[in-house]
Amino acid sequence: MRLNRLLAGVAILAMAATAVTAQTPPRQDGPVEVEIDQGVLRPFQIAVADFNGQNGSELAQVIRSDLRRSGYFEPLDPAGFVETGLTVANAPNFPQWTSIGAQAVLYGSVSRRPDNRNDYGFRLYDPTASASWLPIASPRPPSSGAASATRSPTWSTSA
Amino acid sequence: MIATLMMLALSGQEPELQLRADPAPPARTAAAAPVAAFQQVYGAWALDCDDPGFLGHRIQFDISLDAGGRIIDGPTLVRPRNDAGWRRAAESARRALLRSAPYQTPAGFTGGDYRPTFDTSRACARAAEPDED
Repeated sequence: MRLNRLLAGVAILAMAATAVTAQTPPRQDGPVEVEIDQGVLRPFQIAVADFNGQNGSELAQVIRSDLRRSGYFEPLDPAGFVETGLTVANAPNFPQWTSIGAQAVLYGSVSRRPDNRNDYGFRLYDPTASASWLPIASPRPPSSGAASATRSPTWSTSA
Repeated sequence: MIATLMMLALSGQEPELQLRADPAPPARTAAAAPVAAFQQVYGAWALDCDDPGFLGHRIQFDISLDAGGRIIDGPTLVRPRNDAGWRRAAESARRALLRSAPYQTPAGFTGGDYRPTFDTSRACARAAEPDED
């Protein structure tokens, strides 16, 4: 009699354990793997900040328009820029540009020369890599005798 | 002139688009319905297929979702690398994961841990395929 009760108890416990196991979802070791192999093609998103100097904002607007018309670029709206007041002497705060989706950051300066020509200097950065897209070099040959005020790419043109 | 120079500078680093369709590795999809929620990422992942540095990467993140499809942990890069092309691709993938939240999950979804893998070459190969319609 005692043996029968013991066996019955064991059977009930076994059935209860089976029921609990069946209701518990199977547990997987580690994360579930997902393959992402589709995306969308978009123009290159570039932030063109207003240039410093005379007509700097108009110059930046022309650049944005030229880039947009090329079809390869999508200039970002300057109203969304977090960092302002960039100068060619300083590198941008890269996280602030990646946070708005910029794949490149372009800014620079323009200054009028005595002969009514303009000097332009600009910088082009990859904010994700925190690095310049362009090699930093002075475009003026040493024989010209004019030392570049900045290390940014510069050139001159008639006003 | 600035725009032209810049385009030349950028295009100089991207001489030719090399597309390569790697065979897909076997996926361990234990929970098909929640995994399907990650298809939302497709529309948010901006591909830069003209950049040779973008291709040839399999970028993995760890990410955890709650029952409502909201991100509660991550996305955290798995085995991050330092080269610029990989980092640009990883940034675009990370932004896609964040943009897609909250994820549309099926009824009864209780949340969980996921490891999405972004395959840049396959994605660019698919993007280059002509539309079927």
